[in-house]
Amino acid sequence: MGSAILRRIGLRALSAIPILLAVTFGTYVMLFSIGDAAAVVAGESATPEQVEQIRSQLGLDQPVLLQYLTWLGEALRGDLGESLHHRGAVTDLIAHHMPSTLLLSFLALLIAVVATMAMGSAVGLRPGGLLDRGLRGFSLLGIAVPHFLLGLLLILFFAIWLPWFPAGGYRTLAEVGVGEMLSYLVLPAVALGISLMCQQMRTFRASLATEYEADYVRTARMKGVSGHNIFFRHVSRNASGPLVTVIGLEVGVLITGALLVEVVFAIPGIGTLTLDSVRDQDFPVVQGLVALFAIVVITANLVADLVVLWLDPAARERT
Amino acid sequence: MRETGPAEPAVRVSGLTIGTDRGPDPFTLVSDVSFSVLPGEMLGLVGESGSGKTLTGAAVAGLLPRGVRRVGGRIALDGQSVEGQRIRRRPGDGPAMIFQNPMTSLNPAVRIGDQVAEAVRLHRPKITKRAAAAEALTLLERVEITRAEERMRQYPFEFSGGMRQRVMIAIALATGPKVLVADEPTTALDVTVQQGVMDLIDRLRAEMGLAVLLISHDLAVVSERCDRLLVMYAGEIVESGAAHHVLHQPLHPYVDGLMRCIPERALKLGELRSLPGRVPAPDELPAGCRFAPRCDFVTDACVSAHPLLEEAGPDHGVRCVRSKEIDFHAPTEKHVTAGETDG
Repeated sequence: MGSAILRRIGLRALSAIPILLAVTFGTYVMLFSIGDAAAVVAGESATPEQVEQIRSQLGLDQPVLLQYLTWLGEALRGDLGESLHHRGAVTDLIAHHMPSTLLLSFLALLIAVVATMAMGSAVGLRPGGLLDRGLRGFSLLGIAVPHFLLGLLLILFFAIWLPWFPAGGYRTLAEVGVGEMLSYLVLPAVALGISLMCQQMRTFRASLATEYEADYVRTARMKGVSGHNIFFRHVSRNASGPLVTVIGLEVGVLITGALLVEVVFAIPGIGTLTLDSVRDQDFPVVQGLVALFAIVVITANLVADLVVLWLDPAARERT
Repeated sequence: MRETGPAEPAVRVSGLTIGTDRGPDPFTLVSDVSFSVLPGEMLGLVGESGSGKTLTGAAVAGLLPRGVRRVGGRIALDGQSVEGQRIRRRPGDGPAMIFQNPMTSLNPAVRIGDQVAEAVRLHRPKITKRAAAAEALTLLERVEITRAEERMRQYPFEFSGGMRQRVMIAIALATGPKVLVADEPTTALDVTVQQGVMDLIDRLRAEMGLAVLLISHDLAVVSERCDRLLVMYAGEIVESGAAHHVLHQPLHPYVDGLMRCIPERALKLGELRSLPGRVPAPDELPAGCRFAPRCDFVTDACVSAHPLLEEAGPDHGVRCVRSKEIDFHAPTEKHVTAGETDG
C-alpha cells in the first residue's frame, strides 16, 4: 500500500512538470511582449544606445526561447535572477516577503476550519433548524461580499471605532513579541478566514446532509453514540472529503488572493510584492512569483488529494 | 424489574401509532399495532414495502427516523412501560436492531474491531480500551468471523455482505440486548449466505433467550423460523396468529393473495398470481378497509366502515368483515391437499 501511495505521488509530480513548463513559458512570453526590461533597467533618461547596450549585456537580444531556457536552467539551480528595481536576488526578495503571508494564510485557514467544524457539529444535530438556515444565509452573504471589503469594515469597527487592533502594518517577530506580531494579523486573518469559511461551510453542509442520512449513523444511534460523537467520530470524517478538496483549492487562492487583503492592511507580504513588481515591470520578480504560485497550487491540490485518499480506506486500497 | 413469572414478554407493544410530526398536515404511518414477544421467541412481521413494518421495528428499537414519532400506544420492555420517545434512556440501552443493508450499515472509515469495541465501551463505560477490544474479539468469534483477530484491523470494504451482517450482529450483541429487531437481515445477501446468517440469529435466540422481531417480506424465511407471525398492510395489522394457521388457512384476502404470489404455494393452490395495484400511500388511505381497492371480494360493507382486528379463533386475529363468509379455496378446491392443518 505504501509503495502504491509513493507511486501516486511520483506520477502526480511528473504530471506537474508540463504544467509548470507551460505556465512559466507562457508568463515569460507574455512579459517579453508587453514590456521592455532593458528600458526599465536603463531608466527614463537613457539614450537608445544605452538601452541597446544594456539589452545585450542582459542577453535580452537573444531569441525568447533561448532566454527562457537560460532562465529555466538557472531556476532549476535555485537562481531566479536579480530584481530590476531592488538590489538582490529574486529568491531573497520572495523569502523576505514570505513569512507574513504564510502566517496570515495559516491563521485564516485555522480560523475557517475551526469555525466550519464547530458549526458543522452544531448544524448536524438539527439540520433544517434555525441555526442551519441562518448559517446558510450568512455563508451566501459571505461569499458575495469580497474579503477586502470585509477587511475595510473590520478596520472601521475594530481599529477606528474600537481601537483594539492596529489598522494596518506588520512587525516581524524579531522586532516585537509574538503577541504584538499576532495583533497585526488578527483583523486581516479574520477577514480572510470568514470568506474562506463561508465557502467551506457550504461544501461541508452539503456533504453533512448526505452523510447524516447514511445507514451507519442509524447503527451509531443503535449503539448509543451521543449526537456530539456521531458527528466527531462517525460523520465528520466521511463528510470531510469535499471539504479537504475545497481547502486545497483555497490554499492556491490564499497565496495570491491574500493580495487585496495585504494591500488593505498594508502587510508587506507576497501579495504586496506581486502588486509592486507588476506595477514596476520588475519582470524577473513577476516571473519568479508565477512559478512559485504554480508550485504552491499544484502541491496544495496533491496534498488535498492524498488526504482525501487517507480518509477513505476503500479508495486507499484501490490505488 | 418485577418478576411476574416466566411468561412476561420481553417486549409488549399495545396500540402503537406512528405519525409524522412536522408540516401543517401530519399523517399517520402506522396505526394501532399490538403484539408481544416472549424471551427466546422469534416473531415474524410480514408485509410489502410501505406497509409500515420497518417503522414498527424502528419504534420498538427507539430508532425512528427524523420527523417521525410515536404518537400513541405503549411499548413495555421487560414489563416496564417506556415513557415518551425515550426508549434509549442510557447509551446502549434498549433493544438492538440490525438492518437490511449490511453494506452501508457499518462506518466505511472505521476499523471493524473499533466499531464493535465502541458499542462495548458505550454499554460498559468503565471498561478499559484493552478489555473492550478483547470483548469485541470474543463477540466477533461468537458470530463466527474466522481469523477474527486479524479481521478486527480491517475495514468494512474488506468484508463480504454476509460477514458485515455478522459484524452488525456482534455490535447488536455488544449492547447486551434482550430484544433484537432484525429488519430484513438477509434480503440484501446472496442466497448462499442467507441461511447461515439466519441460523446464527436463531442460535443466539435459543442460547441467550433473545426475543427476536423478524421483519421480512419473504414469507418463506419467516415461515421457516417463526412460530407466530403478523401480517401488516398499509400501516396496520391485517392478520396475526400461529404461523401455520396464517400461512395455510389465511382468513384475510390480502394474506391469501400473498400466498398465491409464492410459486411453490401457488402450485398447491392451483394458480400463481401477482397482486394487482399497490399499497395506498399514508395520506390517501381509504376510509373503509384499506385493502378494499385491491380486493376481489369487496362489498359495500367493506368500503363504508374501517374493520377491526377481531378474534377468529384461538390466537388468530383478522381484520376483515367478510372473513367468515369468504371461501378462498372454492374455485380451486380440488387442489387443496386434504388433511391440511385446520384453524
